[in-house]
Amino acid sequence: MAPSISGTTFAPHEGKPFAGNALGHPRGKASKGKIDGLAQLFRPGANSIARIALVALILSPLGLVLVILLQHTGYVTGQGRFVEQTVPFSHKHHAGELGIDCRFCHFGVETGARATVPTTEVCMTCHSQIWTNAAMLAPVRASFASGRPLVWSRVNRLPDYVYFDHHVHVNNGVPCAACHSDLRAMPLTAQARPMTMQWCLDCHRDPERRLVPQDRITLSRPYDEPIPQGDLARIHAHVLALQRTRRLTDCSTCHR
Amino acid sequence: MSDAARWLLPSMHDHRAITDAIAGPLVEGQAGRRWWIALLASLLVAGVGAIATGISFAYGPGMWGNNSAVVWGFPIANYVWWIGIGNAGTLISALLLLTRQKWRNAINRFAEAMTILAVSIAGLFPIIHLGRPMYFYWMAPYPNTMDLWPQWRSALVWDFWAILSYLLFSLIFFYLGLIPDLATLRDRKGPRRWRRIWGAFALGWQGTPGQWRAHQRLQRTMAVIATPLVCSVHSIVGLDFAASLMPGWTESIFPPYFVVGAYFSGFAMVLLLALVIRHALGLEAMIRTAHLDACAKMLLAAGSVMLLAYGSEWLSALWTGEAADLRFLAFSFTGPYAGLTYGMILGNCLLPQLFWSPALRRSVPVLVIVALGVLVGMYFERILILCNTLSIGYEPAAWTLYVPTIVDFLILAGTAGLFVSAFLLLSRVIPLVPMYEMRELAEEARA
Amino acid sequence: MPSLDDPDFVARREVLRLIAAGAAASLAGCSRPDQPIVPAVADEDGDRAGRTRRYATTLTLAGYGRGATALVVDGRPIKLEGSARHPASLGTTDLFVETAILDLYDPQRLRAPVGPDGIGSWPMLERALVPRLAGSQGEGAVLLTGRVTSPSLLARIAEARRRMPGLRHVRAEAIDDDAEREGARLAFGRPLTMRPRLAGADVLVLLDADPLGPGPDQIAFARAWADRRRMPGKPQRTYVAEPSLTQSGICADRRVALHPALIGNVLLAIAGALGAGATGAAELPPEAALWVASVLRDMRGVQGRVIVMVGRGQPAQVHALAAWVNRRLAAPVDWIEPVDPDSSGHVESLAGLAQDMAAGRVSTLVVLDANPMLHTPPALGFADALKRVPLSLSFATFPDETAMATRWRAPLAHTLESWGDARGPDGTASLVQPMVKPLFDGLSALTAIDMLDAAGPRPGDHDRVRRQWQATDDGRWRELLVAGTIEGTAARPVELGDARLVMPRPSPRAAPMVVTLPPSATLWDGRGATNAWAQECPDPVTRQVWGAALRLSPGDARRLGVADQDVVAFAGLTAPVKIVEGQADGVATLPVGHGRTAGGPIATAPGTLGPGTNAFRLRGSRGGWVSRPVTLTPTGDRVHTPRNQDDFDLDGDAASLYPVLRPGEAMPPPESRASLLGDGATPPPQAPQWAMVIDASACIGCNACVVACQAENNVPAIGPEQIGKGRDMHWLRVDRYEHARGGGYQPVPCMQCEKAPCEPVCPVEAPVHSADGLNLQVYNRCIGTRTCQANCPYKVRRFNFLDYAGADLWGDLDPAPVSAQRNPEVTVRARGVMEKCTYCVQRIEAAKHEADATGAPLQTPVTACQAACPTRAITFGNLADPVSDVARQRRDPRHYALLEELGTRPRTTYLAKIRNAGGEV
Repeated sequence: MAPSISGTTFAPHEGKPFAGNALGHPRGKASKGKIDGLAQLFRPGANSIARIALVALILSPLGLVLVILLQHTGYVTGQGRFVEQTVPFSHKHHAGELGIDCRFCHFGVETGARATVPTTEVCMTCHSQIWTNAAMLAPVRASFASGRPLVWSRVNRLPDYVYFDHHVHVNNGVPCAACHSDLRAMPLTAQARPMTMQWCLDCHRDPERRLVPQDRITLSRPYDEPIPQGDLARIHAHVLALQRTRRLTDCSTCHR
Repeated sequence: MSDAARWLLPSMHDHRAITDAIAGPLVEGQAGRRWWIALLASLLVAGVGAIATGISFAYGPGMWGNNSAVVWGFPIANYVWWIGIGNAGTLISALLLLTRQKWRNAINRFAEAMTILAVSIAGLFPIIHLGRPMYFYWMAPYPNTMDLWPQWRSALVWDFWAILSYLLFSLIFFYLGLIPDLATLRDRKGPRRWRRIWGAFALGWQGTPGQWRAHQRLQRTMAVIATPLVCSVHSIVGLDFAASLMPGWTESIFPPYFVVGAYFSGFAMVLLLALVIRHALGLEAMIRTAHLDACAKMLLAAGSVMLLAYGSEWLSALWTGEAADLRFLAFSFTGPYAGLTYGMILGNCLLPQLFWSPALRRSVPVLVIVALGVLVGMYFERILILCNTLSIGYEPAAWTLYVPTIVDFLILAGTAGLFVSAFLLLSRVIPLVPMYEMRELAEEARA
Repeated sequence: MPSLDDPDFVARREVLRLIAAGAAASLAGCSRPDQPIVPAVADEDGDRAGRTRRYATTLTLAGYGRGATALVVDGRPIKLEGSARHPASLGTTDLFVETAILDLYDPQRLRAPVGPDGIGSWPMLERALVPRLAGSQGEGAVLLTGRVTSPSLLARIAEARRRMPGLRHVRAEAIDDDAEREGARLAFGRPLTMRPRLAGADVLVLLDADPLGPGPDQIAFARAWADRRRMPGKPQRTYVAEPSLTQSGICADRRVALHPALIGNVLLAIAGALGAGATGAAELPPEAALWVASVLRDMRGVQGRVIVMVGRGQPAQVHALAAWVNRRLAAPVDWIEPVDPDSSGHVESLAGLAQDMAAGRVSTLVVLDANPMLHTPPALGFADALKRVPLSLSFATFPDETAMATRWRAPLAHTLESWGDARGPDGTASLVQPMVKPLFDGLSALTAIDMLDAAGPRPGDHDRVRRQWQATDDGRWRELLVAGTIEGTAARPVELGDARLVMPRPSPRAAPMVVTLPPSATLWDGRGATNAWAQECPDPVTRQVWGAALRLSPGDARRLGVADQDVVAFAGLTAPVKIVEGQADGVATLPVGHGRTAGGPIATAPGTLGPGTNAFRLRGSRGGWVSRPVTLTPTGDRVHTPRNQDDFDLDGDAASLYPVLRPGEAMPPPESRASLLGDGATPPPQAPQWAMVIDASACIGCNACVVACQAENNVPAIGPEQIGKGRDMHWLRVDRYEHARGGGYQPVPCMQCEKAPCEPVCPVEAPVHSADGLNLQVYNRCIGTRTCQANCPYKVRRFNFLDYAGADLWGDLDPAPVSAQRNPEVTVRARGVMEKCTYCVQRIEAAKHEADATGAPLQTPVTACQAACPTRAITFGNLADPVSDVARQRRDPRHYALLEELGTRPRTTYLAKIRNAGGEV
């Protein structure tokens, strides 16, 4: 290395001795003027700026972490989101206080993929008798009279390439509350779960913990009281039997 | 006279002369009219390319010539070609540094600059060619709400990383070599604004022996890392194809042969740039015919290796006697793309053979012609690798020919425009020949 | 059933469009737009909302009914399948049934009555029409229809004519059967229809006949033929002598290409050997003579098990002689009274009508679902005559040539929108019931007659049909509707004595260059031309799409010095050339049905080819399906004719792609090769393992499966320009190959490889394997690197190079209605996404969900292609179950896997084609 070192020690500045701080700021007044043109090239603060810049550069990837974390918040997933409806329907009142069974309106839930949002006729079965001229029900009556359908806003939205099937879940021990939580406590319906693929997979990877005896399907809090041993055994056997013929995490389970 | 003297004219044995020769043409020197014309022209071409890319984004890959059988076309060829060119820079700076090749000092700086530009351009295409470019980041492993990860078995994922790491590495390596020169520029007379910028990037380089020692150590360490890295980049590109079962792609030779091909095209580009720069910046004293001669020898060697690689490919096809492989071979020599095949052989294998003659190795026109021939030949090779295989796969019913569209060509031209314009701009703000390394050379030459 | 102006239905279509758009949007990764939920007002579907329901109905081709089952979701028919009870469907479909569903939603359809002064209304039309008819007792009024077999409609017309004695009913079908009927009249003294029982034919001799080709009988004939071929131990042999390669010719064991004029000579030679007397004059080219000798050799000793069939292209005398030969051989052939009660000749009656019109004897012409302007022989001058008719009206589904020429045109309801009935080719009657209210305000055929016969009672179509079948009590009516097909209505064979011996005049060897005019295999008589699926469906012989070229033999092409796509002029027409191996020298072939000048953008502008060439223009004044002698002259132009396949010949080792065996021969045992691709996760022990076996011997290349797949899986039609660029979207392609040992069809869906090359190369793992052995493609994960297709040796993956799903083939017309056909169970793929056959995973999942939800055992699903296949060539099932059909077929000695040597271990495998050419070829 000898030649290169000897060559380089003074090579860069054509042999002039040089004394300056990190960014070429002259050290002390004494040396001022000795070095032509360098005097005001950088202010003393420049050093710290440079250092901060370097540190920032190194730390910048951490910004991504924030973006990633954001994905999991309700802000992105919509969890906890309320949606304005044309008719401010209250599950709390109908299902909770009046104790109407879920399946009275969502009659498709045990027989088809869709739980079915009730037709205007279903609403009118009662509301042709009671609250017949309540202002808040005007849209319902209008729909019934005109034959134009009521337009509700979707609360629990899965992407269109996700094929969810209610009756498979409901008939296999997945309670309504697993995805919708306790609707009987909701005056206005909100999205109770993140509805992300991750959240679906939690259950599909290990369904057993989420299943309840069939008689608890429509309960508000199906998980609260412990499940009796016999039922646990039955659920266990059911899951085992299922997993002998299926892989619930196959993409085709939900995507086509 | 010493080995160093071969690479430097006596007139350049004085440090100030070197510095002035290299730093002179930078910002303080007036940009010639030719520079401006070149810049505007290349910017125009780049702009057109950008528009063509925009069109493909707006309407989809259907704007290109790709079809049901030949699903890969120009974009992938562009990618492979540019990444190949991008390989040479690091080779020169790293391998030649480790092997103490004096002549690298003059050419490594712009070779590295070339690398960075080429790799950045190449890096665009894996994204551009996607059907849904907005999701390119799905190739990166990041925790997401879908609980999904990229597929590590796929060569494309490794591509993604190879390009990224190679680009970052080249940038750092390039910058590292730049620091002492930036300091020099900082301390020379010159426009204050630029000196501040240079100064800022010089990171307070003092040239103290300690700094020099650290610099040397770091540079050599990185050189050691660079060598396997640079090989990995293009071997992985080779694996994109080799790790398949299509006739003409299932070749175990692909990775090494891709790497050689890469250096090959890279050196052709370096040679071309060297000719331009020494002429344009009047650096004949530092980039000497001896340098050109050396590059030419490299081309000759690589070209012969290419011939060997092709030969082994054809041989293995004949050898195995697989119906598909034989059909593939016959197709490439008699099919509609046969012209490209012969062009490829001419450019990559035959033209470099001219360099057996020392006289031709030093004749500028010949050097230009051969270098261009190699660049074109290598592009043909990239196209043929895609189209031969995909056009006549295993199922005759699915045989389809590939016809590029105008958009394809515009995007290709655009990349060239981008490359040239970027290089022209660089040539104004950084010394394309490393001053301190030339001074080293001068020291030796004087000694 | 709702209609377009029914808000509720509009709403549902709105939702559907949102689904389509939404799929695209969310695939494109947008933020969440607020989505509406639009429930019905009244409970229509009950708890079956969103589930597929099946209704029996009937679709017609050339007037003959073929039973079908409509799959209806939320009031939208989205798919048509066969009806097992109907003898012309046998539970399967053909191309024309499969494409019918798109016609229903076609934006090109007529939407309102249009009169001389622009768009009108039904009342306006009635005001213009009724007075003229009612006043004159229908004097000078003519009702022109195609073939009508519908008992209700015939009864209705008869009723109208009782009230209006002057009203004439002229029937003229485009693809007529004049020669057959005339032949029967010559042989038996009265018109009869021949019904061959192909299942009983050990030796089948086809003279210019194409029973496996397109037509109302294709399904029944092909099934019988295939069943006979399958009989173990008793190899059947099919002889074909024809001018141009047909599907039957491709499936034949021994075929000879002959000039149409020489077909008669062949029959004379055969008849001569059977004692018909001297036929010295009937000279034949050597290869034909050899062929005849072989036929005669095979005829010996199989008395009663030989059938000779003659095609509609041959003159009546040849048909008559064939009848004599069949009687002589006691062939398994029934003769029935014609299902079509009108025994007059089609062309003949058109000629008569044209004369009357020209002579001004026709004051009112009402065309009902017919397009004479397209198919009437030009010599009859129908177009000019029509101008002399004071009031002309055309009830049509599309604005076709006739509808555009008549003073009034009025929308006719689609079969899936109307009540009615029809008889099959064998006379079996079946019911037509509507699946949806008329989307475009069209009238059914019955209601259309109601309009003419204003004085008559209007009980409504439903009641008329119900009364027609004396379904007095509701239970009975319900049964009939559920069954669709009405048992015991098939025509009974008539008892016949010997046929009269009619000897056609032998034709000299050197026959002049003529053009044969077969029906189009994809557009039939041209009514398919408005259908994008039909246009994009490759021709079974040339694999050409969006148009037809003039087929020439290599010899003639050489003589003319023309190559593929060179344009030639002949008889005032021009057409590009397609050279076809197996075309006879001295005869060109141009399918009819192309070259439409009206009907909508799809019909009139099949892209690069331009409107194409209307081969009907070559017909002589007496009809027939062979042109007068023509001279072909190259024009020097070239046009691009988009095709799905260019190379048919497999030379050398490539022949192993399409193995052809002799009867009883077995495939060589596969050598086991190592695969570089590892096994995925081990599937659950009791998971079904889906697999498909395709019998190449049974495939007749009819393309029913291709379009069935298209309809089931929302596969878009992409138009001629895209196909011309070498892109296509059919998930299932039917390749045609030829080599020294024989040729035939090879349907190629995704192979669902166990060691799939596409899977390890995708950077985002969009192609993945499921526990039941499917090679899934997750559209919403795909980023479109296309690496999978690059690495697919079978090239069965399809890429959305452009926004094909949203693409608008229909010009300025709003394609929105088409999206109502889409299958809600299948994702609509976005631009830049790779797609492919999934074994109809949506049907598999539906079956699984049903089993899971009800605890019932898993029913093996039926894939769309399997359901469509007329010859049952496609078998699908669970490999893990050793007694399943698939498992059984996999043990068949003919079993092989495509490109087995690559070690991909396909789940889709084949049974090799059998060619029973006999030793002395």
